[in-house]
Amino acid sequence: MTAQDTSSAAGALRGNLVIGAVTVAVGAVVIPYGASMPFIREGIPGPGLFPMMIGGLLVLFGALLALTSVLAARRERRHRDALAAAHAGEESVPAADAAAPAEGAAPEPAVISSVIDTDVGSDGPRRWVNGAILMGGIVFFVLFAEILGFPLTMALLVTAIVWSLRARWWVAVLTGAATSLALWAMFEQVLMVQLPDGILRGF
Amino acid sequence: MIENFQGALTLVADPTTILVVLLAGVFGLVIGSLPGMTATLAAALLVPFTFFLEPVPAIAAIITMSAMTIFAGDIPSALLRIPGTPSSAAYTEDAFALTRRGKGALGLGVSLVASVIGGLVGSVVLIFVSPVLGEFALRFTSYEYFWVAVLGLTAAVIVSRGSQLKGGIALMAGLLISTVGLDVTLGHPRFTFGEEQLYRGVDFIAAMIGLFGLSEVLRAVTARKGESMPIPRVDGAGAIRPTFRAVWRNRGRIATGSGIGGVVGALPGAGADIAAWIAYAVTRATSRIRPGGASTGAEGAEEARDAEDDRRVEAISGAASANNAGIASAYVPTLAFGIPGDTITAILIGVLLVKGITPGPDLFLYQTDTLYALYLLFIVANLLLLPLGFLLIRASGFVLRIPRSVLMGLIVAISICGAFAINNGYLEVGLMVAFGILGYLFEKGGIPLAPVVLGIVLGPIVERNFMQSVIKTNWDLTQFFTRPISAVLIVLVVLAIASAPLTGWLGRRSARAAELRAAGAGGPGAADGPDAPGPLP
Amino acid sequence: MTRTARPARTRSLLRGLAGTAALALVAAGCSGGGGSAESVDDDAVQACNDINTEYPSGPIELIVPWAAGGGTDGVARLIGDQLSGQIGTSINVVNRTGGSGVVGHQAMVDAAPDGQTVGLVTVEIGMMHHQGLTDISGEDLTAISQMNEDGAGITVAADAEWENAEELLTHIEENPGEVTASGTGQGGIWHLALLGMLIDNDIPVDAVNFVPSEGAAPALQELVAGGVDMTTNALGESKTMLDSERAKALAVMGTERDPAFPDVETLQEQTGSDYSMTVWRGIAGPLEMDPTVVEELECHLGLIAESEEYNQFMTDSGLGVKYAGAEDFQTLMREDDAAKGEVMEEAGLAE
Repeated sequence: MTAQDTSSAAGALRGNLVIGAVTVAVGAVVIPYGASMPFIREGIPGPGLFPMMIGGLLVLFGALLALTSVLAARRERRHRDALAAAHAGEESVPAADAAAPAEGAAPEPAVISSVIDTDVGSDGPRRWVNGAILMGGIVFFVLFAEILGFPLTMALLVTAIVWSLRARWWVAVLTGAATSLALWAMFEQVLMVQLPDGILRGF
Repeated sequence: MIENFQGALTLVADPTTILVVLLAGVFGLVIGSLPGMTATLAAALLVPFTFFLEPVPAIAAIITMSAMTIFAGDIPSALLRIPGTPSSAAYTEDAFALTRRGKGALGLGVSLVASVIGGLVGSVVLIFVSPVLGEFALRFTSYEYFWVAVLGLTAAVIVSRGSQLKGGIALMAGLLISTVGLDVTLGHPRFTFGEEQLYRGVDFIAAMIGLFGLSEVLRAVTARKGESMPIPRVDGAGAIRPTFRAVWRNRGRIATGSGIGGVVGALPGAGADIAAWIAYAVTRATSRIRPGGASTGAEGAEEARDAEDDRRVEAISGAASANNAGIASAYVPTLAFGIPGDTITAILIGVLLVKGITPGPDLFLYQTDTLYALYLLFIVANLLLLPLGFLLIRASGFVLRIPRSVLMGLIVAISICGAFAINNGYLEVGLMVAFGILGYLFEKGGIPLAPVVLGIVLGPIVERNFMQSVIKTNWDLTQFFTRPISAVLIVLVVLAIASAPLTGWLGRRSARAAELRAAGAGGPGAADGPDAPGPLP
Repeated sequence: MTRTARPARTRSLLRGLAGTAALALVAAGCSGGGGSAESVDDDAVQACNDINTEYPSGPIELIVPWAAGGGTDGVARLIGDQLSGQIGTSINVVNRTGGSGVVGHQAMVDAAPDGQTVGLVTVEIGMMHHQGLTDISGEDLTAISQMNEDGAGITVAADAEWENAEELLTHIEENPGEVTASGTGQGGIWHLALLGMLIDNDIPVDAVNFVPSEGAAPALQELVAGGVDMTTNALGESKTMLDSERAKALAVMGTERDPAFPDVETLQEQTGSDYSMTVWRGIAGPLEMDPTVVEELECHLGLIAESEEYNQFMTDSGLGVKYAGAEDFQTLMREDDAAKGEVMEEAGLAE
């Protein structure tokens, strides 16, 4: 029942409004695109019918989401006011008690027992660097797999990702090499899926 | 019938057959645990080998393999949050949540036992009900298929607890994605932006790997320190007892799920995927376990989470039994009329024909030994799944012992290979990346992901059957409502759509009132409390 | 860390099992492959291999423009298996699906002309460029061998009132718009077969209501359930329905009867028209392939087309065997392209 509580509710409201707006926008783009598709016969839509229907529902759902979010926020505020008024009648009930259910609904806390894991999270801009390494790495794979071959490209990609998550460098290199070789053997030799050979062709 | 079974038994007890069953079982488990490698692909890979086998071992290989693969698809879904098959996608969230709560072995164990029971029920359906059910399924035309698929879509409403509107948005996103590619009526390219590769549409496996797997990696690497969820140890050893206890508790769920799987699987073209989604929705909607949360304090929160876990286990038992039951009953139309029930049985028909066995009435009249051998194989395959599956679950727990950073690298590598293998091209890898980002954003906005997959899988079925129906009758829409089977399906659809928001609204309303009463009971201010909360629009 | 000893053993056990299974399956495949090669004359195989001793220089990729598990895929996998036994290298069947076959055929056109990548061409190569889906046609490929041909058939439900194509066509002419047909997607080969037949009989193309479907199997399900009145897919695809007497075949759209269905009359016998519509499959590669490589592959494929295993497989699958060498196959692709273009033009399917 604090300022923080209210601000997170406001944040959720803002989030829902953004989702609603984006949804309506997508729907608004899809409908004319669907309408521009050819008709089976005069007056009978074919390919465009489903996109138009989906677009219409997107607009509807997006608008409804925004509307209900606003209404729910208002109702919640009224409800809270009422609750506060009820509490005000009896001073002995501490406000903390009423806050408890909200806590219970918070995201499930970590199970502390038998944790065997290392934390891979980071602080500051490093997080976004890690994200960029992941996405950039996959793009790198797509661009270079045909040239460098699967084993090399995949090894580089995996090494980069593991290393970016603060593993020791030899762990990263080892993981990269082992993963790419194991997958190569599995797909190419056992499952008969052709992976790009690249410069390794002919070996 | 007894002598038929004896003849069949000698066919099945052959050492070659037993060896083939074992090898195909292990092969199926390995393939199924790799995301992106589907049962269909595994069956296609097996076909060349079956050329050199006798008919019974050849059929045995495909049947065993498919039963194993469908279960094994749950393993990456529970451990890595990457559904191995579209039917596992229905309960991926639940299985993964259980793993995070340290109950991964329980979740997988329940899924395994439910799969086995479902498979056995499906086999029984196949053996005893197939002539009747087959005849029933043959009366289905595009109208009925349309409604069955719509019934599947309503699962989205139930899957997206919390915000049905966001679930609706997610479903629409999935449906929109399913329209990419050449359209069914005129072959007109939609949303392809001149890219010929997109003519084939968005592959749902690539979408699944991206939405669930890659988005999870993306969230992990961009997490703040201390924010990334530690994964508790999964001990496979002691899981068997609680598994069977949980299975016993949910026996009704498994029975319903198996029943749904048995019926829906027998409809040609509907198959195990739709069966799993429908069973999931039914189980969720009719759950009697009260979601906790009314009680207060840390203990109450823990209780609430335990209740939620029980609900998850319940849902898994319903859906996992349904997809394996569906796999078995998909053979009903295959054997009775030679119509494939799904893609795997389509391949099996090819194998049968090559082996000189014509599916259809002849099989029931003249080749009863083979037919009964096939029945027996289903039972053997499902029983074999139990020990092999537990072995796999025990072994799979080690995935979680791998350091997190290494695990992330592994998931990315496996995801890329899986996406690449779908069509031996890079388009699917690119799609996977796009869906990874989409999944990441959706999670941030609290939009559920499962309905997106549902939309992608069922969208084409809904659209095709709708368009076929209206073309057939020149837009006589009354046909959708006047056919008797359609009418039954429509009632089910309406019930499914109405149930979730209604119970949700009543629940919220009563919870709020109770809270208010509790607060107000102690104080005189309660009497002039506020108006009852207005109904939701 | 000491605790990991036991689990590690379990894991390696599992991995060992998986590996063994895979190896055993591969071994089974290899031994089987070796066995099948014996049925073909070893000297003849050697003679083929001697045409270009440098070829092949590694595994060969066989592109299939249709999905794994379909009829075309089955044919490709069998050819790949037999070819692998004869030519002495592994053949990887690679499914490149999408866009009504555009993607796979495009991949064949774009492949390096070293003979390490060839593909299974299907009849759609001569149709999709008329529809404006792509620019490529049979002229962008080096034909190697035709391996199969099937005529379109006319299948109706077992209780239908028509007994032959003549009656059906008369009914269509007298009641335009009443009969519904299916068999494949819009603009697919069986749709074209239907339209061609109507045009040939001077019936307007919109006299039959065509319902697009995802291939022959769902169309037949609709046929039996009473959703559509006729399908025009190949008779082999209707085999199980015909055998179980849920459907009956009225005619085959060829100049000769289908050997697998000797009782089904041709359109020529029933109506006197020489109209025919067939599908075919064959092996082809990109342009500018080394002639000796083409010759070697052609030689091998000729042996396969004669082999008992191939013929048995095709007969059992309800598919017809028809072999033509590189030159004849190239001619077929060209002539077929023109013929189908003409029908599509008249039917309004061409862009």
